[in-house]
Amino acid sequence: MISLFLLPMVASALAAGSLSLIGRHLILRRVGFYLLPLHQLCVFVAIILATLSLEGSALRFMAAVLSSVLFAMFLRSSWVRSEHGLLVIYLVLMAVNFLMMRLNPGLEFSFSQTLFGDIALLSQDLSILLILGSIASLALLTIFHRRLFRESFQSALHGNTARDQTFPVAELGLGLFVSFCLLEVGFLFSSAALILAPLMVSSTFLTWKWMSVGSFLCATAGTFAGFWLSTQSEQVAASPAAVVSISLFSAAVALLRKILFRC
Amino acid sequence: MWTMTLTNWPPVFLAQNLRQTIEIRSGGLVLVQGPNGVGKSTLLKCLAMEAHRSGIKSFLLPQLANPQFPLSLTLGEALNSFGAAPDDFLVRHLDLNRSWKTASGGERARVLISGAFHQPAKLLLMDEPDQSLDGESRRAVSIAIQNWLSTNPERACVVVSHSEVGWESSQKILLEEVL
Repeated sequence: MISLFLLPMVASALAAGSLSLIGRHLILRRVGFYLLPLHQLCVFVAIILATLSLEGSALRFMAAVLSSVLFAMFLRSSWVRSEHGLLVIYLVLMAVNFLMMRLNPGLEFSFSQTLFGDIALLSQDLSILLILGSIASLALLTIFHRRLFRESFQSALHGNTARDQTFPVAELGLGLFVSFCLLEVGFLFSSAALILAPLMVSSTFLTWKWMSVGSFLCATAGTFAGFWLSTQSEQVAASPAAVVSISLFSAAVALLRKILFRC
Repeated sequence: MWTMTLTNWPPVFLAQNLRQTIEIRSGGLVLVQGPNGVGKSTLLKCLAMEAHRSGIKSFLLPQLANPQFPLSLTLGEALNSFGAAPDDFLVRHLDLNRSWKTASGGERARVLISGAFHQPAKLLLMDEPDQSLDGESRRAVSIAIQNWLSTNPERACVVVSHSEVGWESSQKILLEEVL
């Protein structure tokens, strides 16, 4: 059973690890709330493209590209500052998407994956794309490590500050990966992988380096555990099981660290 | 050698009948003073924009706010993100393994100021860098700025400060009088 799901399992675990490392920057820049409107934006763009007769992977890819451009703009500008402003955009886009899906019931079915999603249902092609995307994201995070960290750190200190005038290659690439995950792997799993592990693990690790290692391990191990649980019972869906496992792993690591530190 | 003149004033200054111009020259240390709310921080932002328009690379160090910090990192990691060395004049006595969350305002300020000196900028704009520093640290910052300026005649620095300590040799702009 496990071997049947090996590729999607590895793909989603690697994606969870990469997302957790991207999530550190979202949390530090205080833009975690942007995931809500971004997700609805991805769905909206995808619906528009679908009505223009784009189908399948071309549709998803175009939607991810367009949404990631907007995502990078979100990251680098301060025009949406308040959490209530983000909530308004999220609600309006959600209502519009709901209306458009109702007008075309075929869309409602095809977009169900973007809402809750199930990592166990990832196709072989999609799994390979996810693995490649994860590796590319890890490469971007490594290459642009110093600039991303400095900008995230300064955003945490001073809000939106003057940034390097260089083209935001890293933000665009990482935004593309996040948008792709939101569309293809689903909002629940992607946003949990982005936010849960770094936030929970950071309460115990003193340094950015060890916090990063801890959140990456918790995200990947939690996904493997959730996937394994779903193979044991048909009643257990892989995505929610993975999310619960990630939070349990993160809590366990935090607790263990505290116990060891006291000893 | 370069000279930059601030010409594009924002409406908040123009509304107050501003008639003077502000000129920054390479090699200069300018101290901006004035009461709260007069627009000192806005002036620094205007200078940063003017520098960008003039092709002069600048770095603005804003006031150090003290928000809740959402993730873990140490003073050393923060310093490293700027490319600054741990044996730097301002930070060599600090415990760089200390968490940013628990470090004092003075320790954080020293790390940020030290980091600012390592930016590839010709014009350094600092908004009250000495606000959380004691007398000795203020003098250390002043010396560090003088050192930074003396190593390259193409550099200039504009500092906003309420204190005169350490800035005796600077050109002063009293914003209240200008306005």
